[in-house]
Order: sequence, then structure tokens, then C-alpha cells
Amino acid sequence: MKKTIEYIGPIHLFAWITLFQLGTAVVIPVGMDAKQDAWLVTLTGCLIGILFFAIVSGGLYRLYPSLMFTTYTRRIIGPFLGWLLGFGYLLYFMYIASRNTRDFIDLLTAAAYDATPMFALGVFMLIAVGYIISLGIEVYARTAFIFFLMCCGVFMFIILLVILSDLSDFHRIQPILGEGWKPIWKALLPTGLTFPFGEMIVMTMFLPYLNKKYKAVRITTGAMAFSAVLLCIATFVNISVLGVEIASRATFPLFTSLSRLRLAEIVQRLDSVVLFLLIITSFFKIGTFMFASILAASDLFKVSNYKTLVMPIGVIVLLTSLTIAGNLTEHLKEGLKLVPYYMHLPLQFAIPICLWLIGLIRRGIRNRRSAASS
Amino acid sequence: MIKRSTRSKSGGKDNGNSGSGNLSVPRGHLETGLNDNIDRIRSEVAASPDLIVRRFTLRTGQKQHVAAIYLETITDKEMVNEFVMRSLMSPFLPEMPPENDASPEEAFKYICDNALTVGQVEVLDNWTTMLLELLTGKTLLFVDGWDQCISCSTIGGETRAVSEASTQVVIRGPKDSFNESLPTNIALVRRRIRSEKFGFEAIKIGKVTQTNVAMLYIEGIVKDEIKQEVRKRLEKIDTDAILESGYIEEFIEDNWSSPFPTIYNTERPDVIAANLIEGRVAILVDGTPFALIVPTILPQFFASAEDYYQRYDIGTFLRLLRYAAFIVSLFGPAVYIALTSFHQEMLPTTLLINLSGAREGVPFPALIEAFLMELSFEILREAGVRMPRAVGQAVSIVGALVLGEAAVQAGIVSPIMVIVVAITAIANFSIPAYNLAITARLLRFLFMIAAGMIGFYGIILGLIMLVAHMNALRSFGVSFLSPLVPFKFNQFKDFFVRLPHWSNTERPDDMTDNTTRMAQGQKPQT
Repeated sequence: MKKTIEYIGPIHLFAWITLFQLGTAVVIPVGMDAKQDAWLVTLTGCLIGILFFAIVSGGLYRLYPSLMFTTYTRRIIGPFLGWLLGFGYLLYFMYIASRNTRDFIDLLTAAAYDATPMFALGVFMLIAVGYIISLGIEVYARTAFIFFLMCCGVFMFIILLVILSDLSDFHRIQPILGEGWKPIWKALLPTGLTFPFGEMIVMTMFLPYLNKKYKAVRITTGAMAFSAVLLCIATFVNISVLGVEIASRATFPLFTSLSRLRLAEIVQRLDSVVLFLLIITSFFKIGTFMFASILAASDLFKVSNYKTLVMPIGVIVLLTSLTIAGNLTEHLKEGLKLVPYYMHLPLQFAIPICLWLIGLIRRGIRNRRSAASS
Repeated sequence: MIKRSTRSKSGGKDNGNSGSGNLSVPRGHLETGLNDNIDRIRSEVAASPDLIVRRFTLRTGQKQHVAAIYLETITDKEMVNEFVMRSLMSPFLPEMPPENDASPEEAFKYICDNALTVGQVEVLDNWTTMLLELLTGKTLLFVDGWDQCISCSTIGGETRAVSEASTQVVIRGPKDSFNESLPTNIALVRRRIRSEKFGFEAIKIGKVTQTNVAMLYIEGIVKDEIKQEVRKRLEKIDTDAILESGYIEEFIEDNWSSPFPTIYNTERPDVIAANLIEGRVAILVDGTPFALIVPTILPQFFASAEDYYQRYDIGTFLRLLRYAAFIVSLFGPAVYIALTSFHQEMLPTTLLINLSGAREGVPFPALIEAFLMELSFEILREAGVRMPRAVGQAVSIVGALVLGEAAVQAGIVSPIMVIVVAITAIANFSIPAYNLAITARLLRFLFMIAAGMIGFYGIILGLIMLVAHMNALRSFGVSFLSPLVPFKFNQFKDFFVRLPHWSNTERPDDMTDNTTRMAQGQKPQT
């Protein structure tokens, strides 16, 4: 049969973004500095992220609906500067892919695999990621959809369990806004903002593949809102089961809270469920960044078949993830103190805003010119 | 062997420049002389002793020499005697118009028009088709001095009777199944679909075997592009022999490197009929009871014909059970390996203590233990299938020793491992489609290796890759995981569950544009 052009269906994009947003965030607590109000951090971060994506990224998408981010940088600020900026984003995506891989490896080591070498854990992940990327973007999105269904099932199971078991106490979430909005803003800037909702900038690489019939911005923001709800549920579960003190001190609160939940001595030791969530969501997060860097590289270096780039970029990501930091402390310090300020904020927010403004101005000029000429 | 002998013969006779050494080299027009034709046929069919040449003259006072030629092994002798010989030699034949001295042409026409009581008659004039007709069991009539022959359909020979299906058994439902004869098989399907829309195309595949392959569909339901794609792929096959539908399956499937079958096969005519009505195309091959159905989606492999004949609630339950069985047979031993060697903390404490107590004396790591048991079970299973019936009992006795108390007492495996192997095996047997069960058998070993290396992490990564692979599969343009991906909720009525027939009012739109199956609102009033 004739080969059809690859495209992503709306429901598949929704699933993909949700899994991408949940990646590691569901296991690592977001905004736990704000204690009881951690869920408010997630919600506010999501709200800002949605506004930003709808206005800026969505605006760029509306300007160039069939181009990838790294392609329209060249249209907006000229071939040379645009190429350089695109290259910068390629490096950024690869760096974040390796940071996520490292995060994931460290999580896995701490959760279950203390005796397995980091290299082995990373190499298996990247083989799997490379395989699924080499099957194409359509297969990637469709696979995300199936695992999205599974993750929804897992979440429903967790909620049911929390309701049925008498371990949880919803009064632990109170008081809401006990210390005002201050701790929320403190947690939000910049980590709560950039992770996970700021990272949505990477999806601008895939939006051109969406079937044009559908409204990209509505789907993406809907998925962001949905994932924020899921993250809030995870936070609720943690705080209601463990209490604020333990929940904010535990490395992986969801692990701890689920290992406490049990139902009539039959359903117990549910850490495996969290392990499942962790691996699935991290897989799609790493995969998304790696896919974005592969698409960016094939666009910048004019490689017609991006599948040939899976191997080289996979190796780079693997090696970077292993050498990026000497130990977990160094890795976390970089991740919390340096990367958000020097990489996330400019690349996720400042540059897209500039690009959007320049793009709008250029279009305005072009429109006026064409109006004048006609 | 066949190829070479044919080549040397035809090469000597004809110009022999075809180069491929098959039977269907161009042979040209028939000869005029009766004896020349007979001699040449004798040498072309390698002087087979079953070639019968019966010469006679027409009874109606003519001097015309006529010969009937057929292969007695594959013709119905009754038919040859009754309808060819007797009618030609009958004294009651009408007179031939020009008395006594009819030309060969007139005699030939006369036989054609008046003297044959066989149903299907054809006039042939070239060697290639003439020989092919002879080799399919037809009787050829030659008239001396005329360069055409008449082929009378007298196909016969031994076939197995229509009997009960041996691989897809049902408790309630039709008990007939296909046999090795293509006309019988088509009759079994046609008898179920009495529609003038029932379409049927025949092509011959295999240069040496010249196997009849039939393509069945229902006009007006099947999508044209699917029909054309099937026809195109069938016509592209260029091989010497088609001995089973499996040969064709490997030539026309979409992804040869996948462990998953993307073409469904069945020996049940009712299954073929049901699939034709959904808009699929069936491919029937002469010489085998197994017919192919395309396009195929994964849920087909989990459906048994009986789901539709028993009540829908039990049908749903059994279907869910089969999906569960597939998952167990795929992941059973892998999960055991992962739990015992990586994730002991995930087991409930009492079970963990039991398990470690049982595994105490076992000298191997869990992976080796599982491989040992799974492989010996696979050997046992293979022995059970291939063994002559008479010695079958020996397998079960020895099998109980290998996979049982004796192995545990010898300290090679733990009793829990035996249970895991047994559950996996039984789960595997409960998958209704044998070719999908094989897939699970093979992939199980990969998952065991993954689990042996990195535990659950390996299993989940393997699962992601498996799902991605299944998503990449297509069968004649239809996604293998349809209706899950792409998501079509209205087709879920016949997927994990089977809802009552009156609720399933639409055909799946993957194969057909004509999706109305029945009128809405036929729910019985209570």
C-alpha cells in the first residue's frame, strides 16, 4: 500500500503531552517547599504555562503552522542567526534529554536498582527510546496513547485505593494558604514554572505533524490542564497519606505513600505500580527530548531521513547523561540552582517571546507591503 | 527434481529460451493429425502410465477418428464413461447433416454441439492451456485432421470428506470445516452467503504446481482498494510451488520481520463468512483446509467463533479471559524472574519467606532455572505434537517426571517454578489462534532475558517496544491494533467485550464504506 505521510492524531497528541508532563514530575514532588500548598504551585505553574503556550508558542504556531521551531527561527531572524539559535536549541534539547536520563537513572538506582551500574540502566533506556523513535513519529504518538490509557488506569486504581483504605486523612491538606501566597511564589520561581510546564517549548517541534484539521493550542493546553490535575492528585495522595512533614522530606513521596497503602491484606506493596509510572512517563519524557533533538538536527544539517540520526544522538545523550555530573548532589545542584536560571528561563520563555514579537512585526510589515503594492 | 526434468524435456522440444525451466513455456498451436497430437502429449507428460488414450470412431456412420485422452488418477471415471464415451458412441445420436463424408471441422462442431452430455465444455487450441486442463483432470477430445480439442470437465479423484474442525473447535456452532478441495470449500462458503454480491476470483499460482487460489469477497461491502491490493499482491507471487496457504501468507504479508502474524487463518467456513460480511477478503488455496483472511487486526486472534453463538455475557467473559491468558503466557516466567532476583521487597512477606525457602536448595539463578523449565516444556510439547499416536502415553509419563515432583526433589528447580511453567503453558493453550500463541511462546523468552538482566525495568521497556512494534504493524492498510489505535470507540462493541448482536449495528469502517449492518433499535422489548 502506498506510504501515507506521517501525522499525529489529536487524541494521540493529547496523550503524548500528558505523559510528557507527568514524566518524573509524578514521582519527584513539585513545589513541596510550599508544604500543604504544593498543589497550588502545580496549578499556578500550569496556569502560567498554559497562558504562555497559548499566546506565545501558539502564536508562533499560527504564524508558521507547517514549520518546526528550529525552521521558523530562520524565517524570523534570518538564516544565519536563526540557524545559530536553532543549533542552540538542538544543544538544549540534547542536554535536557541527558539531564532527564540522568534524573531517571538516579531515581531508578534509589528506588530499586542500587546494585546495577548506571551505564546499564541508561543503555537499555536509550536502546528502547531509539527503537521507538526509529519507527516514526506516528508510532511514537500512538504508543504514547496506549500507555496513557494504562497510566490513567493506574491513577484511577490509586485514587480508589486511597478512598477505600483508611490510611488517608484529607484534613492533612489544610490549612489552604496558611502562610499566604509567599511560599507559593517562592516555590514557583523558577523551578515550579520551568518544570514541567515550561518544558512544553519542546512540543513546538512536533506541532507541524498534527493533522491540520484540529486545533493545536486547544489540545495542548487541554493536555497540560489534565496533567496538572493528575499531578495535583498525586500531591493530594502524598500529603493525605503521609502528612506534610514526611511527604516533603521523602525522596519519592509517591513510593512511600503507596507502599503504606493496603487493602484487606491482598492488595499491598504497590511500589511496583509507581515504578511502572516512573518508567513509562520518564521514557516518554526522554524520548520526546531526544526526538526533538533528532528532528532539530535533521532540519539544521539537512538530513533527509531523520532515522539515521537516532544512533549518533542516542550515543551523545547516553554519554552526556553519564558524565554530566560526578554524583547525585552535584547533579541536583546544577538542576535546581543553575539550569533553571541560565537555561530554562531564557530558552523557555525569553527567546520565544522575542521571536514571537519579531515574527508579529515582520508579518505586520509584510502585510502592509502587500497591501501597499496591491 | 521436478524442475530439472521438465527443463531438459521442454528444452529439447521447444526453443527452450524461457530460461526459468517451468511447465508453462510457450508451446504453440495444436497439431492437425490425431497421432501427432497423441504422441506429443505422451512425451510431454513424461509417458505417465496413468495417461489413458481411447480411440474410437463416431457411431453415426462416419469414418472420423476421435480420441479421448485423460489422466485416470485424477478424473472421475464414472463421468468419463457416462457422459463422454457413452454419449459419443450412443446409437441414438442425431444424424450428422452431410451424410458419410463430413469434414473434420464439421465432425468437431457436431461433437461440440450435439454429442456431449457433460456440463462444462471448452474448445482449446494451444498446447499450454490444453496440457494444463489435462493435468487438472479434464478429458480432452481430439478429432483427426482438426487442430482444436474439446475439454470436458471430469475432474475427480480422492478428497477427504467434510469433517469437524480439528484446530478451532466449538461446542455450539456449525461442525463442518474445510477440506483439501477448493470447489468443496467454496461451496461451503457460498452455501452460507446466498447473495448475488458474493464475488469470487480465481488465479493460478506456482509455475510447477499451478495451484488454484481463490479470492472471495462481497461486492458492495469490501473496499475496492483492499480488493485490488490483495489481487496485486497475489499476482506478484512468482514461485514454483504453493503447497499450503502458509506459502502465500509469507509472500503477501506486510511485515515479514514481525513475530506477529498479520494474516488470520481459519479452517471454519462460518468464520470466513462472518469476515466476508465485515468486508474482508478471504484467500482459499487448493490443497489445504486453511484459508487466509485479510486485513487482519489483533482482536481477531482473541475471538472464537463460539463467542458469537453463545450468549454475549459468557462470550465477553471468555474473551477477557483470553486476553488475560495472553498476557500471562507472555509475562509469567519473566515476572517470576524479576520478582525473585530483583524485587523481593515487592512480595508480601509470607510469600517471600515461602519462596526463598523453596528456592534454597536450587543451585541456579532464577533466569537459568526458568529457561531450563520452559525449554524442557517446549521440547515436551513438540514431542507430544509430532509423536506417533501409539507412543503418546510415554510422553505424558516422562513429562510428569521432568516437569514435576521429581525435578523439584532432585533440587534442580523450585516447586513455584513448576507452577509458573504450568500456568504459562495452560494460558498459552487457551489462546484460540495457534499462530498468535506461537508468538507469545517466542516473545516470552525475550522477556525472560530482559527480566533476568534488569528486572521489571527490562519488562516494562520490553513492553513499550512491543506496543510500539504492534503500532507500527499494518495489515493491508489497516492498523493492527485497530480499534484501539486509531481510537474508534463505537467498534469496542466487538473488541474486549462482545455486546449483543442487536447493539452492534455498524460494521468496522476499516474495511468497508458500507457500514450499516442492521437497523437500529432492535433491542427486544421486556
